[in-house]
Amino acid sequence: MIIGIDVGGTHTDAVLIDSTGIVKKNKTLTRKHDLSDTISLSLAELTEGIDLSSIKKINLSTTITTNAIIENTVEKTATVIIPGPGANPNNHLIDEYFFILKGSIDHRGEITEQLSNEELEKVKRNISESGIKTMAVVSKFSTRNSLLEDETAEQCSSLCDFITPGHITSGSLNFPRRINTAYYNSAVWRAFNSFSDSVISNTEKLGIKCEINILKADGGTIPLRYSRTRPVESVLSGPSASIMGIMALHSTLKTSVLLDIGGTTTDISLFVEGIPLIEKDGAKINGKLTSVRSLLSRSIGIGGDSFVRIENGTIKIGPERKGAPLCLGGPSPTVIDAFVFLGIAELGDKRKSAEAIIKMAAELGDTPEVTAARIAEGACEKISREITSLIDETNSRPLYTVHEVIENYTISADTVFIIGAPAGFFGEILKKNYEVIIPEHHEVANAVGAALCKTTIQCSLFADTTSGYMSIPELNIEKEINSEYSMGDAETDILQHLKEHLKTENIRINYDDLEITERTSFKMIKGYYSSGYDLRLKCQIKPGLSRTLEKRGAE
Amino acid sequence: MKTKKKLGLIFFPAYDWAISPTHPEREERLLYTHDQLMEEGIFDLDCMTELRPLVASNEDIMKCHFCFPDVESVTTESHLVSAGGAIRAAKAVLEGEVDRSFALVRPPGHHAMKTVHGNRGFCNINNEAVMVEYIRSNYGIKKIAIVDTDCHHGDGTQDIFWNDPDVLFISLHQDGRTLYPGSGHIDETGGPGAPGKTVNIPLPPNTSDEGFLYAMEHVVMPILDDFKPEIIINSAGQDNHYSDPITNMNFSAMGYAKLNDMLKPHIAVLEGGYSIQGALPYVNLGIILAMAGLDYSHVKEPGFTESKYRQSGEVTEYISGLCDIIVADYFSAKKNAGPRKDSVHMASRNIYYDTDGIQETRKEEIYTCSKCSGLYVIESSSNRNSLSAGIELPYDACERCLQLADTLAEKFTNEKKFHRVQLIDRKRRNFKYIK
Ligand SMILES: [Zn+2]
Ligand SMILES: [Zn+2]
Repeated sequence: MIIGIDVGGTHTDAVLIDSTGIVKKNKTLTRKHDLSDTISLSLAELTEGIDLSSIKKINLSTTITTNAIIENTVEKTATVIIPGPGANPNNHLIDEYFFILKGSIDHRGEITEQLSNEELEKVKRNISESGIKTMAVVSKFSTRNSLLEDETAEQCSSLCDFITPGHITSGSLNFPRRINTAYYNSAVWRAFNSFSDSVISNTEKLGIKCEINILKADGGTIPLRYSRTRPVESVLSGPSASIMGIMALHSTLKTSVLLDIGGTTTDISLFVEGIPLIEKDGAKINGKLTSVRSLLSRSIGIGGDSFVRIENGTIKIGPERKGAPLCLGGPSPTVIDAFVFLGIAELGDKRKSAEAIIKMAAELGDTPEVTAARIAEGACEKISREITSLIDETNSRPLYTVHEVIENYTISADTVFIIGAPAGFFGEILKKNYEVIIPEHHEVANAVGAALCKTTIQCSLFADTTSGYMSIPELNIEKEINSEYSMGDAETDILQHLKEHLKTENIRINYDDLEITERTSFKMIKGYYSSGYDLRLKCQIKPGLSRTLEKRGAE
Repeated sequence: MKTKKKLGLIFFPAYDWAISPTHPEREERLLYTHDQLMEEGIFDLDCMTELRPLVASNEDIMKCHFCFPDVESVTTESHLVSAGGAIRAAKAVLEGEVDRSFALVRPPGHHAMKTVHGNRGFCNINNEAVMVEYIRSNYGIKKIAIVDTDCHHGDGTQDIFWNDPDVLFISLHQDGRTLYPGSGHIDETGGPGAPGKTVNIPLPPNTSDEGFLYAMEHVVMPILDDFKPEIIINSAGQDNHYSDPITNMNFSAMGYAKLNDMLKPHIAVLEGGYSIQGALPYVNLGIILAMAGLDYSHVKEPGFTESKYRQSGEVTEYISGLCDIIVADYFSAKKNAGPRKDSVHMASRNIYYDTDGIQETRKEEIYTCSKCSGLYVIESSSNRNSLSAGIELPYDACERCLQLADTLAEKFTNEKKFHRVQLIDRKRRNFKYIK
């Protein structure tokens, strides 16, 4: 049996799944300041009367790192950057302990300027005097050559408990994103590890002995143990849990939209031919761009509990939530109250909703029916607009080959899947413009998604046969190659090194799932003669499900 | 204090297109530029908008070029995408999506002339010229300036606008006596209908930042101030760089950035530049930062020092004398221009297409007119195409020129000697092969 737990902002959802489908599900309130306790309570309830030895794994989607970043309770962390020439390095300032070092690597990975020992000593003094214990070090083009990062990290290793070198966070080129990612990785490291410790000890106390995995923003999992040095990968796992959940509940997604409607916000994501779209370069966390691989998801401040009021003679909806709907004893009118008035929702004390709608109608000089409809439609229209803008954005992604531009591939979507507590109410309105599908078990889709996600990992290889070296930055591998090194050699290398890494880290996956997703080869010319090849590969286990639940859902 | 500008980037490296496997105009030309821009996080900046190129239509091309035997025969899809990239850049600026834009597209275009029989100087279609006609026919813009900062003389662009009084063409380049295509001397100053509207600044080999910026300050800027264009376009070739393998200049990435900071072009379109590792990544970054009004003071090629590439005193002195002559010529041409008279000017020339080995012979008749910008008629043949003709009418064509064009069109269609006849009628928006 597998357990999936999704710790959300308000609720924590959990499911227990066996080969026949969902055995048990529960929803508990999230105790924001004790997430590991929340998880224990949820686990205890879920496993009551269950043979604990039959539990094979627990997959956990948690807000621990996301919250720490959003609420700015992260640890003070030093950021050391080695920018070399280019844009103004001060643009990358992220926190008060920010140091810029001399030294430079070019786009081919050649060191064009060495580190300055004198500067490095000064930084070390500064770090040691300020009592900072975590650090991030990022050099420009460290994905091509990590030497300057590694040297700096080694020099500072005695001063810090944990250092993130930029190149392990991503194999893609984007210096500012690597800085943000490495910084956050170090800044949440301690909190994440203490959370992990207590999750492990709490689970053991409950008598559960099984592997524990953490859900990532890309819709895959990694072992909790492995995530201890990569805690930043656990951010924004909530939307990815929902996306994977809907894939588990409904296998014929085609090109469609997923709406996860909650109390305060709605998360919007896209499927193209059944596959969830990913963010082109990585997730945005708290307004900062990172290289954390993430499924595409946009959040807007519209939900069932969005605060409704009249401002300057017009209806305003959200983005803030003041509390529960009036009908459920809340403090002020919400979108749900409009649904209740319209008879779309049967919920709590109808009279309270009606009272508020009638009062607003009087103020607007409209009938209460029109007013309620305007609120419900207004909320749905904001969602529709966001769907359109997300599709437009996807359709305007840049293309880099003649072939692609001539093909001019664009998507459109008419089908909308809705999950979340108020899914049915919004669906009533949205079905005027879309084909709306609300799958069974949608209220625990996120936990189902967490439960059924597969382990994912990715890495990239860059080889330059002219300069005679190859690197796989994420795995910390750099080696010399000869001029005969070919695409075939590169493919063998990336697969072999990744398998070795997985073995060392004791991560069990089906090697058949490993696939090379990008292969480019440029013949480099000096003068009019070929001087060698520039090879670039990416290898990954694509995010996916260990299986789907759809059969059972249809029964 | 710099003001940030919204910059539209049309980055189109055409990773699947090359002239030939070892030709400098090949797939990976923008690869390291792409790497540098990605690594700098340029596309993530709030002030940057990355835009997909459009695909130029045959009509877009036929508003500007006489293509023989037809557009399809002299273009590939990549040319249409590259020209479409320039069009997208213009559209973004003129429709207010962005303040400025930069089309980093290939293949380049500034050696493509009015008549096109094939590829010359790595170019088939003149991206800037196609863009200029797109701007003029869609947005009611009249006066446009093109400043060509490629190391090679922009002979194609010069040829296309030679007789157009509303387009000012300025080219800064390595002296034609020392580099392909050999033209671009100071006495090439525009056709009979547009005297002084072509300005050539042939700089001596080894000119460095100092010399380029001197010419900018003392020639380009004063002439632009006088011409008062509504739109400024930079043909942003990058082969003046000290590391370029096929030229002999000493311009730096910082120099290119400063030049753009001074010029403040609305639209820049990439031209040549074949130092794909040592120059392009830094020059393009410098241009982008400068165009967006961002700090470019940290842009520097590894190992570059100003003293290493400083021009000699002799070069400095030569450039200063040259600039005085060019500015004086421009203003005296303006003073002496007087009203346009009705007359016909004949010329003929041979055009060699180095890439495709084509030899073209072209005869032209320029009808200057007292009432409009005048009529332009060409007869052209090459070892690829038998004799063909082209008739072009300006946006402001007068009744008499329209009638004359119609008479010629009918005559050419009936004359057996012409294989193809193409009409560019901007006034009545009629662009087609009438034979
Ligand atoms: Zn050139
Ligand atoms: Zn006329």
